[in-house]
Amino acid sequence: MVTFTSFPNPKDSFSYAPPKFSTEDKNDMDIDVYEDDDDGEDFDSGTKLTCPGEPITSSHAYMRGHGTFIDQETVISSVAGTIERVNKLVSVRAIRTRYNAEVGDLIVGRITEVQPRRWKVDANSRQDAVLMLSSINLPGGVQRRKLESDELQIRQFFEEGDLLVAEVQSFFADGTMSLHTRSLTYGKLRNGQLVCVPPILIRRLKSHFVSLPCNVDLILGLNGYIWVSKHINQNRRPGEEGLDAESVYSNQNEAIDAPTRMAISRVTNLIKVLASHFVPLSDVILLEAYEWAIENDVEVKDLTQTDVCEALILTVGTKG
Amino acid sequence: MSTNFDRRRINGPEDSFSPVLVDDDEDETKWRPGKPRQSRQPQDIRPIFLQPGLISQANGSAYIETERTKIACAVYGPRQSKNVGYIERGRLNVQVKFAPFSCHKRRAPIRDAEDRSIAVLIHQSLVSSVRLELFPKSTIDVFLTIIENDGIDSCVATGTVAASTALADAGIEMLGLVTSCAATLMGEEIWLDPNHDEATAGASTLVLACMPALNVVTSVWQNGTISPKQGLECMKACQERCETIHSIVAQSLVSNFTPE
Amino acid sequence: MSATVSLSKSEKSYIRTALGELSPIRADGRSLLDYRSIALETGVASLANGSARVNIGKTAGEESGSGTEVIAAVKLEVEGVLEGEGVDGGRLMCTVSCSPAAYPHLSSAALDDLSYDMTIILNQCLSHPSLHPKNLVIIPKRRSWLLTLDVIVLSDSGNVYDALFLAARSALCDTKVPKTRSVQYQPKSNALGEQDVEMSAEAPASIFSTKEVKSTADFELADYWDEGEPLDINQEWPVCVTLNLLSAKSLPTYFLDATSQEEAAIPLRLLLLFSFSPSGTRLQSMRLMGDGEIQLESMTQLLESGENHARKLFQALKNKLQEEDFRRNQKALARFDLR
Repeated sequence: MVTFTSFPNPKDSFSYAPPKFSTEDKNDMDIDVYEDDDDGEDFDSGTKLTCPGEPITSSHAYMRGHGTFIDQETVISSVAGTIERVNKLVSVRAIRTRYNAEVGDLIVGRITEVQPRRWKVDANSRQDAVLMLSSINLPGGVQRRKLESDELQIRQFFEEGDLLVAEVQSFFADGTMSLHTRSLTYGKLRNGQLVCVPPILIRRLKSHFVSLPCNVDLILGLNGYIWVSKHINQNRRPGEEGLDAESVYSNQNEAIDAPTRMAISRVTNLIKVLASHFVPLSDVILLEAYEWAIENDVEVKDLTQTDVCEALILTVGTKG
Repeated sequence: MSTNFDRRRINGPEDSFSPVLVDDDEDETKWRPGKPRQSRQPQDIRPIFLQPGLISQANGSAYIETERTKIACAVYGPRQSKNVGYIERGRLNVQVKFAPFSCHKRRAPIRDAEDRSIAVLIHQSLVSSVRLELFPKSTIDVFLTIIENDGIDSCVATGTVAASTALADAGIEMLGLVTSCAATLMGEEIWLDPNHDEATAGASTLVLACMPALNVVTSVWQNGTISPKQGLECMKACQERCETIHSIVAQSLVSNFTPE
Repeated sequence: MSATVSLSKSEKSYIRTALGELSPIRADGRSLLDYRSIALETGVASLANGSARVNIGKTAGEESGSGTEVIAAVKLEVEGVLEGEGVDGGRLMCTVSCSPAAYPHLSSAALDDLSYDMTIILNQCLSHPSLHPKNLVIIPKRRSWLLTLDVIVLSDSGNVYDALFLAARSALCDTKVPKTRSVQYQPKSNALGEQDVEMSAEAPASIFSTKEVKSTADFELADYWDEGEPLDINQEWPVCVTLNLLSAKSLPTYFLDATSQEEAAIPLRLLLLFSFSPSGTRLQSMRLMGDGEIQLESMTQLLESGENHARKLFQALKNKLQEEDFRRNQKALARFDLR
């Protein structure tokens, strides 16, 4: 079935605004650049937007954080985003940016290269992350020593193109992330499909492993890669003893029945719709969206239609 | 080109061109569109001369001649892939080059666009026949030189046959020999193995490559206007003819290995 | 040859198993024969004689950047037949260029190769003499129109060939050839005046004839340049249907409008170009692409199904082009009223 639609009319989404001069701008900002107030109350960092080059405040009173630089005693923003203030620290968080990692983050990545004793992983960040051979679970027990034969058969573990979930262990001197999968919940991903969203929409949660009631598991990687898959029971995961390569590093998918596949597709479409409307994702929002879709009996493929999208965002976006 | 227009005289034309040298139009024996096919039946292909093993320094080679299409093919490989990351399956790299004297108008020796289109079609015909999963990290290079060119479809078809023979000559494991045949639609008739004039005059040309031993088609390329039913008939005719070509290829390979 | 996105083995196996089931399910819930929503707009390039923009699979709410987006534009240039490269009767030239933004992982040489492959497929089909428009002549044997169709691929998320041909067809249907009138300078009757003479239908018999001097030497545009006549061809411009083939056994299943992940998992596809006109259905081009093989017996069924889908696509496209025409006329009328 073929449907032809039209492009959205550009005149509707924005109107041509006349350029403003910087002298008028000062009235919008609550801060006077040369005001030297130690109060800390002279600007509220609610949802103040700024763009590169805009002065924020004086550097005598405030320390600069990420996304700013100091020029002639003023803190000036260097990215387009929201101003955040924590006591005396001013920083600007960009609205749309590549993923910036922190130690302890959970990410979903794809292997790009296999090198001696390590893999290079694409994590949607400035540089490819590194996964060392010594940071993965070797089959045959969690505490098994690394052998030479492991190095020679490195592709039996991870190959180019494989998806995995890992945690950021540390950083190298040049800013490269070092990952590890030393937990039974981490490792190679199977039985599902990948969805990519802007990284800023994934909030830091207590647990990034979400289980929806429709037999679908989600892994919300903080780098914007989300893995939607069939639900695996906790006790069916391979135990500590006898961690054999066949199951942990196998590329074989399990048998997945049609309703689960349908549910996976539905969740994928919901994530895409929410991401395109810039709704931050969390398990609560996804659950509500899924229930809404089931209640209104929307066809999976219709979830991407404009009118359905609008209705969904209205219902879910307001609650979240 | 000066426009010295002299009003007092009768002027010649403003632009001047060198005279066009045209072939002698009065040759009655030369074939014209509308006339029946010369020297063979519509279903006949031109006689093929196929000699494997002509280029001794290559791992495998073949030279093929069908009237006025002459192609030499050399196969090097499997050899180590350089500058490419790990690939699980081997790579098949096909390169085609026209000799500058191969067409009516001299072709510059630089590699241009038409070379690549023929290479892509020959690659499509061959890639599913070679057992590339046995050669990880390796490349098989197939180099074709077109010595004389009598129509692009004829080049593609003949080139495929030469390449497949050369691959067999190199001892590379294949699922089957690939043979290929071209056809053109002339009015309501299907003429197999057209030369350049026949192909240009026809309403549509079709090149089919298949592995007759396994009864599968590896490449179809059709251009021009044709009804779907006639298209199917063309393909069937080509496939039948491919079986004949297959026996020619097999015979030439066997006789090449049999000591005289 | 083409740029495929990298997938893991389990992802590819997931896609293949899902497509091979009794009730197949695709990643976004579509059935095997559903297209994603196609956004189409004509007249996007005001400096071109005809243009169109196509986007397959644009997610609602997001700015363009998702989906397969293609822009096609037609420019007509005058060529000299004798001194230039022109051919009597005019000629068509198609080029496709892939923007590096669409394929950020490819090197520039690989990008050139990919652009070239798409150009060759588009050019071989659309420049074929059977589709040649009759009204590209300005002065017989002297001047003719060179029609260049340039297509740009701005982003690729699968099914780029269908998008290329949809855009090409829309741009060609939108093209208006300016009407020309031949002009002759006759010194005898009027000392310094110019006299417009209507073109005589027969061209001079031989190029050596001296009558050439007195017949038409140049031409002028008869009306305002953006009125004109549409291209006059015997059949309709073709539409393309890409059948992605699932199995090489005797009964292949196929699906339409693959996303780039599906194309990476299922590499074999059959491109079919059909042209529908009152005189009948014609197959304009056919090409098997990708690693794999098919059996000839299944070709009958594939051609039939391809024809049906192409017909539906053709009809839907025709309706959409009429709507677009109407919308643009309304817009032009509204602007005219404002003055």
